[in-house]
Amino acid sequence: MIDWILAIKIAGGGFGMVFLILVILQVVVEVVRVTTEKITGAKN
Amino acid sequence: MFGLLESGFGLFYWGNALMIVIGLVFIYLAISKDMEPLLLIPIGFGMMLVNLPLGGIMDYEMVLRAPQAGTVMEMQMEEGASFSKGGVICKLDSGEIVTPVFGRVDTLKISKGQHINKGDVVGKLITMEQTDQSVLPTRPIGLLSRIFKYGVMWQMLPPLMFLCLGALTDFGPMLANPKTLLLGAAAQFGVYLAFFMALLAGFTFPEAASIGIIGGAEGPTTIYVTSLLAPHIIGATAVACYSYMALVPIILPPVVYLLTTKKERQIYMKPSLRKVSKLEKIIFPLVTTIIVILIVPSSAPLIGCFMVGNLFRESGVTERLNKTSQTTLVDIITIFLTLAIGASMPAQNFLRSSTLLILVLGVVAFASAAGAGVLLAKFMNLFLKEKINPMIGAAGVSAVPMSARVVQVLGQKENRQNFLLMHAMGPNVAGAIGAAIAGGVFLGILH
Amino acid sequence: MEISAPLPGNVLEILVKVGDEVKENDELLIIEAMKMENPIFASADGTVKEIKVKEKDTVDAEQVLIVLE
Repeated sequence: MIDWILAIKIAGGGFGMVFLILVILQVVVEVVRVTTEKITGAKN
Repeated sequence: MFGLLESGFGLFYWGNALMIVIGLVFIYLAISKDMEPLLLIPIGFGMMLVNLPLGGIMDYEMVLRAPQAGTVMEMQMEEGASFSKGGVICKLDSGEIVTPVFGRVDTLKISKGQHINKGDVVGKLITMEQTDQSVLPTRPIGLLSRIFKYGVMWQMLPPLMFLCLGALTDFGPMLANPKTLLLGAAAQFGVYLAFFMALLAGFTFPEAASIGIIGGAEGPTTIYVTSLLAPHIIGATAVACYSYMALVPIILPPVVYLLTTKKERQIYMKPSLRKVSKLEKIIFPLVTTIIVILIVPSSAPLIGCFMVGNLFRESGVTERLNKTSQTTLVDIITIFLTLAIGASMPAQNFLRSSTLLILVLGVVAFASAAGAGVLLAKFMNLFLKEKINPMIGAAGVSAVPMSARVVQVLGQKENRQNFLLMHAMGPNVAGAIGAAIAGGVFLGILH
Repeated sequence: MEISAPLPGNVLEILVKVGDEVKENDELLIIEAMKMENPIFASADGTVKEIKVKEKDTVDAEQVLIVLE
């Protein structure tokens, strides 16, 4: 018998986790861009 | 020959012949169709080698111990006999001793009439099966079984391969357009859909996770996760992953055509991406390492190696390490890894109905990954002022850079002035990061 | 009219010479990027007035490659 509750937890949690981390990375990349532009004064 | 040398013919069966033919087909496709020759030639050759009986190249030695006490009533096998899984070695007054693997008998330590206790050594077996080492420990005694055990099972080669991929990867297109990180994340949907379907098909949780991760379209990640969770199916998952990466030009287009309209496929994207400064490229591997490993510690070997390789590339002061990782090291690891993977496919291991199922689930994983990427790109277009061409979402199936190239070709078919290659590289490399994280999450839960 | 590089890469082959007449969607040159050969097509009819790159040159996105008249 498959433990469907566990399966849903793993799949939902896993996909959510991957998404969350990549969203965080997206925000970090934006923040890094803005700050490095401020520091170096370069506007790309 | 005069009773001195045993040839392999006695043990050769139709399964070996079939596997050798498959190996030869791989080699043929590599040479005359130029399909991933760097992977398919060593994998095909490894398959051939391991299916020539008695070559011993993938052999493991296993000490078989009596599962229960008893007196030996009758011996059913003699030294040198070959057997399939579950073959009866001898009959005891209390039951039978059966072989837990397929292989052949090397030496026997018991004889008729002898009383044995539970745990006594019955004999030494030779097998090519990947066993669960905590239950049935084995010792590699062949060239490729040693490479497989200490390279793959000890988790050395796949992370080192990741280091080389890091040195080969330019995150520039992704950093220039960080939205593409989301497309790489969406494509991991394929991993979880295939995971569910594998459970439905009757696979266990660790097996289902190893099958699901095929959808990450990332060779080393698939091998790494399978080696830890379900080593007995590693040949099937690795072959599924690598062959579908080669087949991306066939798998992706129908999915894209199904989910997009002609008008969407014609969306033009401006050629120039924002120029990404050197500082940003240096900071990215550093912060990614810290953030990802803090959240998902079990992804450390993959993400850590991926990012240090990328830092070799971007730091500007480690050109020697960068060059070695991109050329010599990646070649050396590819040789060891792919030969060993090819050799993990003796017919007795590979020709099972579960292999066929894994291959089917692998296609589902790839196709649904591409579909999820396309659908998220369409969804994002609802909010974006400057529309993106939804086809680049399909490149979230990492298979770097194959799927980005496919998107480029599809884009130019609709509009000769439209160059999507660089735009598709963003989701493409983001997909590789996403796959590594998805693998890490599976390991964190199931290992 | 200027034809500029749609993506960064290396000029692999130049298929036209100065004075050639070209039609819209004719292949002008090939740029190699990501180990892929990308043909660059003319965006309108015209005559090749100037070729600003040579074979094996590295080009940036939006760099002018060919001037048509």
